[in-house]
Parts: sequence; structure tokens; C-alpha cells
Amino acid sequence: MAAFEKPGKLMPVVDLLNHSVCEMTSRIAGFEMHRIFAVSEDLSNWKTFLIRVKGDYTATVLMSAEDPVFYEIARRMKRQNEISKADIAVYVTEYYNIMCGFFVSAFNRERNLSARFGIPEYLKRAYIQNTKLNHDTVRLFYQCAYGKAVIDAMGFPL
Amino acid sequence: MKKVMIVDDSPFVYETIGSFLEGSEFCIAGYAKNGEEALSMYEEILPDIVTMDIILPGIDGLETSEEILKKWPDAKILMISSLAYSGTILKAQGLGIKTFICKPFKREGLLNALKTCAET
Repeated sequence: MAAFEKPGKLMPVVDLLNHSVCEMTSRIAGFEMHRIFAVSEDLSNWKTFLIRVKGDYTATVLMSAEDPVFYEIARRMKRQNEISKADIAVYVTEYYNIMCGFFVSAFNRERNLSARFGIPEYLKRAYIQNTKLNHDTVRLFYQCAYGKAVIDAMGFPL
Repeated sequence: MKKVMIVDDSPFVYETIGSFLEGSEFCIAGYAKNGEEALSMYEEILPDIVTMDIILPGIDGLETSEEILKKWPDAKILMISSLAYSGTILKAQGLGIKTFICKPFKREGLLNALKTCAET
């Protein structure tokens, strides 16, 4: 992937993750995610998808978003005007699988590491809390036409 | 028409492949949502090509491929996965799988990969 080629210099996790979120959302769901500085909303009602990465390193990536964001991703993937709650879980799980696969694969290639993850978990509750971040956590905030989202990548060797 | 069996737990992938195969020389002959289903379905329909995801509930796509290739060494498997780095690709190659495409894929990429897989 040309966007990741930086001979002699590792691309920071934050840039790899941001590229993965923006590129994959555009390609899979067909709308744009824009990075913002922070969100002021209460995250307690936001649903969350999570993957656990295991191999040469152990890491977690989770994404929380307002309901309309996940609804729109699923609706566009299914190409139907109305979808059920079950559809949201099924289609966003695949969106998240592809997006995280893109990110983890790029990270592994850049660092010459090996690690895999299983099927994304749908938590149906907010996982991200407004707490102080650990030194190995990258947190990114996004805005799109349907609402806001937060993504945490924890445990990736920096 | 060449028969394709899809092994993927995501209906999105099944629907996408189905729409991409319209008007091509390939048709969907079976859809398995996990490795166990794939093993029993393979024997029933004996597809020309299997599209195999890596991340599956239960036994994963690499293990499922290994089982299929043990029983049917001439089976043609196209690995389709979001996890595309040397580790997974080398493991797939070690099993004798020669074709691999990444999610998300486009119609042209899928059809080219299926043709390559069918010819190997």
C-alpha cells in the first residue's frame, strides 16, 4: 500500500489508524469520517465494537459511536433503506473486521511483526470512558454526517 | 459455469461476491458460515473453487483449508481476508494455497483472482 511506504521511518500508530478509519469507511460505507479534536457528548449510551489482537504483541482496538453512525454504516453495506438492530450488529461487525484488518496488517508489515485477531465483539454499551489514557493508548475522535465516533488502540508497540 | 463455494461468516461478503459474479463464468454453488459447515458442504457439492475467509467462528479458515486439502489435495482455494500480511500469507502458502486477496475487494480483483485460482 503506497500510503504506508516510508522507507527507514516507521509510520506512527496514530497515522496508520487514522488512515485505516478514513480509507475503509469511505470504501466500505461510502461516506467520509473527519478527525476532530474531542467530543463533548456523554459516551455512556454509545455502542462499542472491539477486537483483541494476539501474537508477537497483545493489543485491543475498540470503536464507540453514536447509534446513527453504526446504523448508516450497516444500511449502506446492506443497500436497503430500512434495517433491523440485528443487521447493525452483523454488518458493522464486518465493517470493523475489515477496518481493523487493514490497520493491524499495515502495522504488522511496517514493524515486521505477526499478530491476529478473532471475530469482533459487539458490546452494546459504551466501553470508552472519559478517563486518563495509558501511555500506550492512541485515542482518535471523528465526526461524520451521521454523528461522532471514538476509536482507541491500546497496547500496540509504539 | 464454474462452481464457487463461499466460506465466510459475513452475509455482506456473500452478497458482495454474489453481485460481482453476475454475468461472469462463475456461480455460487454453496455458502458456509463456518469451517464445520464448509467441510460437510464441500463433499456434497465438490466446488471448482472455494473462497475462504481466515477469521471464522470455530475452526478458522486456515485450519478448514488444511482439512479440505488433506481429503481433496486438488481443491482450489482462494483466501479472502482482511488480515493481509506476511504471517498469514506465508501460512496459507505453506498449505499449498496460491491465491490470496484482501478485503475490501473490487469486482475485477475478485474475478482475476478466481481465474488465477482456477488455472493453478
